[in-house]
Amino acid sequence: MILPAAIVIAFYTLSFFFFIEKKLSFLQNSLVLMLISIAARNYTTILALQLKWIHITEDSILFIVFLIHREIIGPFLVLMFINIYWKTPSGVKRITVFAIFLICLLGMDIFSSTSGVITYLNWNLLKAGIGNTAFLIAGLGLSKVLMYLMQESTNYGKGL
Amino acid sequence: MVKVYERAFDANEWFVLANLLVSLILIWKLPIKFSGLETTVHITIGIFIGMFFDHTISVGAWDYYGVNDTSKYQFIDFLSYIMYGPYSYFFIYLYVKLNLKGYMNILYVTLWSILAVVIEWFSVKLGIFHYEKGYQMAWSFPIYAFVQTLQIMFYKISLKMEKGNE
Repeated sequence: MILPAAIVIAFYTLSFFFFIEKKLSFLQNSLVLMLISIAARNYTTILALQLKWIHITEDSILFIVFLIHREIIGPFLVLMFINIYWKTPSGVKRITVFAIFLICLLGMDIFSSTSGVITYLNWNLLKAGIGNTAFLIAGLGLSKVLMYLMQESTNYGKGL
Repeated sequence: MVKVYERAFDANEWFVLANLLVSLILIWKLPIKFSGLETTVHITIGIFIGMFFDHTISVGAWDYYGVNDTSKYQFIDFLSYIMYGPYSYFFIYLYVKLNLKGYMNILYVTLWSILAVVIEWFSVKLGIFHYEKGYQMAWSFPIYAFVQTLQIMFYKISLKMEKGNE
């Protein structure tokens, strides 16, 4: 039941991301997605292998759930947050958007811990919340930098 | 339990550092073809894909190989993932330069996959990768062919999407 549930959550995350109005271009979104994914992998690997604050499941099926969470649901939630945040005009609404996505990310952490995908050793939901907040803010900062980067004239795709 | 393959600063570390240095100089020296964003994206793809496999099939449930001196995550491991970045850039740079069409795509991916396997063979000999649980280099060829095809597809899609934004 856990793997189908993760696949369904991933499906809806990707579907919503596909249909939302995006502030960033395809390449900007791709770059943010890749950098967030790289950060998420390092984050989980350091927490599990170096600090031993969490334990990642040794079960092959549950490990796929972990990968779906780390590679699809988490990064795409951050990417969706960034695009919706920059499309939202007022400060109060932006805070609401931030809170909604933080709750979604925390919901996924609760899903992973209750289903045995991740076992908390020296870790708790508060620390996970701080980590998720850092990911959302880092994503915003990164997207802001990218939006400021001017689109230079290029021969992209025209051969040398 | 932490596995220790060796502790010395030797061939594997020098290979990673020299590889990074030479490839970054080469990127700098090559005529500019892409914008800053496009260059960053195509360098990041290599790191993104390399790190995906190394943080997926070399950890946890599927621990098929170790990287560098120990099974712990070290800074030199991180640098060895960065090392993938310039290769993905050269891959797409040459692809655009040669303006390949049709069946030539298959030949191009095959040649790059062979090159990747040769570099991996050197990396195994130098102690960057340590195969475990019966992992064999034969598995690497289809993985390289698959991810390189994905990169070409990504390039083609990005062309259409970015032109749609203009």
